[in-house]
Amino acid sequence: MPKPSFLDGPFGYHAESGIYDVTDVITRIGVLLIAAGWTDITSDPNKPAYRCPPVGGSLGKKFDVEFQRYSAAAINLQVYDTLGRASGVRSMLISTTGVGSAMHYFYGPKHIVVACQTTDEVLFAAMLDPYPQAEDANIYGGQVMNGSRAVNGGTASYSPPTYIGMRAANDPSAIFSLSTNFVLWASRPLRTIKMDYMFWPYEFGYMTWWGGRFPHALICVPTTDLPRFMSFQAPLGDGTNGTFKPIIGGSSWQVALRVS
Amino acid sequence: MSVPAHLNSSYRTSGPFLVTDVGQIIAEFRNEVLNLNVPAWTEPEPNEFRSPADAAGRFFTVCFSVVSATQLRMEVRDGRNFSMCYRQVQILAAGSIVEIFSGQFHMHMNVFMTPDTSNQEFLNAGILDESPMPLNYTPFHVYGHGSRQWTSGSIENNYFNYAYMGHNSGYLTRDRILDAEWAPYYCDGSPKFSPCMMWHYEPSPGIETFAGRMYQHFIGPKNANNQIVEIPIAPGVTGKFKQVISPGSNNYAFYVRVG
Repeated sequence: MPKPSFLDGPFGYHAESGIYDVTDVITRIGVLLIAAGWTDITSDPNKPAYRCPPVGGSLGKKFDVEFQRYSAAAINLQVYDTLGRASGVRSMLISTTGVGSAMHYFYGPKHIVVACQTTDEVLFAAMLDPYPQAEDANIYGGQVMNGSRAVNGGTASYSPPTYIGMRAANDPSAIFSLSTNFVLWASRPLRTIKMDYMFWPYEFGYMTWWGGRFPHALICVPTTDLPRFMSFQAPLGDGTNGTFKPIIGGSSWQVALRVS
Repeated sequence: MSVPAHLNSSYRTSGPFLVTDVGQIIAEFRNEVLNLNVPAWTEPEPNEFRSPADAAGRFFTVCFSVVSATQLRMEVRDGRNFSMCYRQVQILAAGSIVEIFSGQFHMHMNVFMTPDTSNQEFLNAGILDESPMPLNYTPFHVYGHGSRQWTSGSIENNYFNYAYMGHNSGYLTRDRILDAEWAPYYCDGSPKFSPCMMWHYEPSPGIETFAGRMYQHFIGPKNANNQIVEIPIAPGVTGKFKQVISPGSNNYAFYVRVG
């Protein structure tokens, strides 16, 4: 059997430490996204912006991400959908003292995830994998984002992975919102009867509507079993294993991203 | 990409047929599983039907007994001969329509209380596909359920997503079907069908784990009963599945393989 499509396709991972200013983070994001095929669409030099590579289909689906330095410690993210409609602005903090911050970047043509190991905060945006639907099936939905904090390094609430920012329908009139209701199946079993680990896609939808899967991500056991950023192997469905790192989550479950 | 293991087993359909005495159900079930199923089941004791063993030696047994012309009991046992559940269905004195779905690893029975369609009943049982773990990964791979309580015959826990399974010190029923809550449609409105994955529950100390997948079943959106849908099961391969009686949910229903 081949890999499921949300684990197939290109992806990348980069880590670096000693980061004291999010300017370096934004620069790094730009380099990585361009390498992954995104297009630089920056119009305001203070807000570097990138558009994802074209998806299949003929509907002209678009997904843009825009980053902004608020302070040395705070970075903002806003995303734009096919119609150019903006999401809310979310942010994360890095540490600018001591030895600086250890940063992890997970990226590909459909996702960018930035995680700060030092502050345990994240920022991410992704186009969901709608398989078996067509790539452009979710043209007005199926795009997710969030960060650990409100805009400008504000309140640490509505945070991922339980809260997700998404439009709650595949509909031009759908409103962007942050909700726990968008995360499906978060209570799936993470152990077999013999207590071996199990892994599940990080899936989204709303009410009766299924949206898709976060590319190159898995739900895994909580931090009590797999400490944050500890690499682990998970089956990819084709008889091979991939290496993942848990990046965010709590006492019930975490989200892990593919690194190799 | 080949057909997944939980869809790669035998299946048959019998009915719908009118039943005025539950003894007819046993006779029809016997004919189905002993004479028409390939591989065939066996009947080690009268009214005790044992499924063929799989490659790991796993099987389950359903034992029928007649309470009255309108009351049928079913006990389900695992391969160790441990009882998993005792359940009952009833038919109307004037007769009810019955359908039987069976295969080497599953059985499901619909009882339609026509013209009173508000109280449809069912019995089901089977073993689970435990992949990606080995087939004999755990002894807790047999499930069973039905609409009514064994002794009183009262309707009890007749939710489609409930099932009895064993645990370390007995058996119990609970909500076992993963995902039987949300999102039965894709964004374009087309139905989304998912494997029937089941929870195992160990009551002491209260641990929920993954048990396996029901053979030849999907869960999908609930609408008019009895619809037959064609579902992709591998690239270029579809199977036909019939929606069966699935009380307890407004959104989801079981679909059982018919073709």
